[in-house]
Amino acid sequence: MEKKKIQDPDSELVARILDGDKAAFETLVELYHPRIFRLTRGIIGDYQRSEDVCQDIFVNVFLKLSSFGFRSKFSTWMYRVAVNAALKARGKAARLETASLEEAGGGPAREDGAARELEGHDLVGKLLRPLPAHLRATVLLKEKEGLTYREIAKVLGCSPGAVEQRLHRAFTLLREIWKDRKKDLGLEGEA
Amino acid sequence: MNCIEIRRILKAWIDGEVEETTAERVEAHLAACEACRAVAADFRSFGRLLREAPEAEVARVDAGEIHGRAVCAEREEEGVIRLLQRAAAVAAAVLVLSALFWLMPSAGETPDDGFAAGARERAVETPKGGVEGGKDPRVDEDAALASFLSNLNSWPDAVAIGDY
Repeated sequence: MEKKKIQDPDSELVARILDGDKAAFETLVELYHPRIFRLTRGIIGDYQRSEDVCQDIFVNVFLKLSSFGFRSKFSTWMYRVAVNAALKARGKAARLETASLEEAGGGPAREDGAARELEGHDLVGKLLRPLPAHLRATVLLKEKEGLTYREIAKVLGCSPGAVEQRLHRAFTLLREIWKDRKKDLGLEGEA
Repeated sequence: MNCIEIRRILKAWIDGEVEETTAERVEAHLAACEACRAVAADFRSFGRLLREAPEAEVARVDAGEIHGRAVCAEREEEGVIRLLQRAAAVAAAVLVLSALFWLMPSAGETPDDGFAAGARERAVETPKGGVEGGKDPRVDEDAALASFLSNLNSWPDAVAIGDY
């Protein structure tokens, strides 16, 4: 039995790309790049690396688009490709950081210039940095991208119940961190 | 529901992701519990802070350049697939040729020769304590067949179906 195909505002754009329309692909990149970049940056935490990963994500989307079966919203599929790539890049970066720390004999990890430069403006990144990458991804998909628990579950390949648990854990941790950082952020009047 | 149970679903309740009956229980609990109300307020504030915080600067993107990279990657991928297909075809051909080589009889040996020789050998080496009185009937049959086959070449060429 054929699976039900859903209504999707991006389906026409995707069909045009599959027909080899270069302009349609460029439209898709321009449409999704800001969201995908913010998500990737939120998970990876490094500006330069996020830029590279983001470009790789769009190349991968181009290569794998024929496997998109229109059974879910294109944005869900796109987020899934992005989150997987970002988590993989984050894991790789964490291993490299650990290795360089071991080589240097311990001490705090150095951040790249761009990250330091943006620190003052990147409140979300600063707040979410202490969270594990998979919790960060869940929080960003909920709070920044406005996805429902069911949509997040599809993106992360887990159940809506697992999304609920992850958000509970993330917010409990964030609350503790927030309490410590309230003064630094000048939010003493909040809650 | 106690405070631990309520706090576990507090975020889902704030996000409107719990059923109506559960939502009513949460609301009833919050009306009576100041500590859980404080947690709910913090969760709400934090969600709002995340949603309303100024966005980090987004890197510029050259969509045309990404398309170029994607097309190159696609060609590379196709090239690798073609290479793998060729390698598989060569491997299959080598396998077939090896199988043929092993199945082919060695030079100067025909299946008939081998069969006849085997039968002759068995005829010569008839075991004394064989089946029924020292004679193996299979040996006789093999020898007769071998003799028939060796005489085939001496048959006159003129023998044809029309002669019968």
